[in-house]
Amino acid sequence: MNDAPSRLTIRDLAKVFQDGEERVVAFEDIALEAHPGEFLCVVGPSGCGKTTLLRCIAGIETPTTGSIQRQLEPGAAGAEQAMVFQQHGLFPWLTVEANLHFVLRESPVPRDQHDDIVQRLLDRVGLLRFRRFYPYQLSGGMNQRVALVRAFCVQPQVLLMDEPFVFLDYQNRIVLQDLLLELWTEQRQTIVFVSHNINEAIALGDRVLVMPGAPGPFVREITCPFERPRDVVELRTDPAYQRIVVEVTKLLRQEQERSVQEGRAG
Amino acid sequence: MSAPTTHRLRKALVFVASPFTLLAIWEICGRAGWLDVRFFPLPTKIAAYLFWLFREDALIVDILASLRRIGLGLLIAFVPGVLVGLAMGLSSWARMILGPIVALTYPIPKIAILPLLLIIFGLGETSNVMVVAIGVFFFALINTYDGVRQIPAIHFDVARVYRVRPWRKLTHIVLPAAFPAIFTGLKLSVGYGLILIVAAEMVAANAGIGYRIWTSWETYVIIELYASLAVISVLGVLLSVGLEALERVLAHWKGA
Repeated sequence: MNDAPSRLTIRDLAKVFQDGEERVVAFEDIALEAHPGEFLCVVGPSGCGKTTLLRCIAGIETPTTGSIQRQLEPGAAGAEQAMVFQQHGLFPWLTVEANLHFVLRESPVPRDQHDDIVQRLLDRVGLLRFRRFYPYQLSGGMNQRVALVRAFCVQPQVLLMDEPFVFLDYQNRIVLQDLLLELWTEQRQTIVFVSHNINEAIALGDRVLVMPGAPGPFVREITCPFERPRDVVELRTDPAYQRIVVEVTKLLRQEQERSVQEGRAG
Repeated sequence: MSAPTTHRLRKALVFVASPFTLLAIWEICGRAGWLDVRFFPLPTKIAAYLFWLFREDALIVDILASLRRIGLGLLIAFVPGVLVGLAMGLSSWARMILGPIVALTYPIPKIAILPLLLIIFGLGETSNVMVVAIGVFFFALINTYDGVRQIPAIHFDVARVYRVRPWRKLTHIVLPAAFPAIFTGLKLSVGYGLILIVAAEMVAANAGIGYRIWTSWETYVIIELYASLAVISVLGVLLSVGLEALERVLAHWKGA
């Protein structure tokens, strides 16, 4: 699809958890390429290992075999990576702005820009007047907005997202999806976005990779041919969108059944 | 006056009124002859005696002696306890090596070590301070360790993703995250320090609240025994109220 050099290249990746005699394969034979500026989504049934895959890319976990390579922009001002988790993961003893400054100080972003970045991004997500608040004083949706800002403020070349909106209510999820697309449009980094929510993945991504129910290579790659900027709600009236959603839903149902079958055979 | 203020005022009133009611019942029972005042002197008599003790400057010397020993014990042992607790919480090696030693020494009632301390340090200040220090050390250690072990995994994930340097991770993530538990260790240390020092002073000191209790038993001045107990109880409450207030300021982010 893309001749551009890859930003993130994964080959033959596998993760096996060894618990005494028990050997649990989280995933295997995973290969992918993510290009600069690409919004890549990975969907799969729960327990398919997609979160573990993302944690391997982030360097939180070590893959058992295979390689993960990043071809980073030399001399870029921002951090190599950032990640948004299912839970906001803000430090409860720091205010909103102190949480942002904390990760900025660890990043290569020049010190004299920190104040501006924090101010501008908080304003973008409508939380500027809450900058001196502590996480416990904010709602779940607001905290997740801060977590989103925390990821973007270090201007990462690769942004990893692990079902970041899964614990939000429906309204908040749409708000956050809009904000994510807005912030990404400004920075255009490579995003790897993991979700079990098919609609979300197709509405946000340039490409969607479907993870199998039982460990193995991706079972399908789907290109989302919708123009940007996108309206994640308006998109639902698009027949092409609906067709892809149904296709992926069927595929995942099939995968789920396959893993049930294999579970029986084992 | 706003509603929460009146509510808090009412709570404070009950807090003060409830023990005074008990004392009043005691007083009435004593005056009515239902209580043997030789063993249960009238609260008003105890209060008067306390007042006299303070005027004679006798009691204040004992209070300061005990507080000084607790303070020194804290000063010596709290930081080392926190450091060992951090090491054990963060490193599986430290856990493996120190874990069994801590497990075996922690259950020993610290006052049982006093005779040994008296042999080593002699009958004096050092032994008294050391017995408190040993108790404080374990409370600091155990609570810090628990606090570190209970830090949510996501804080470490965030540190990993955003490449937080090890030293900053320790000072800016681990320590603040474990701070509420460490502070609990401090509160327990102060409370237990009071118990330990009173016990130690009964045998190994010539000043202090414990010393006063022991001499009043030896001289059979029961009212002085009660006066000393009253001092300990008020001291304990003041210290714990003070520490609670400090905690509310320092760990406010827990969001009460």
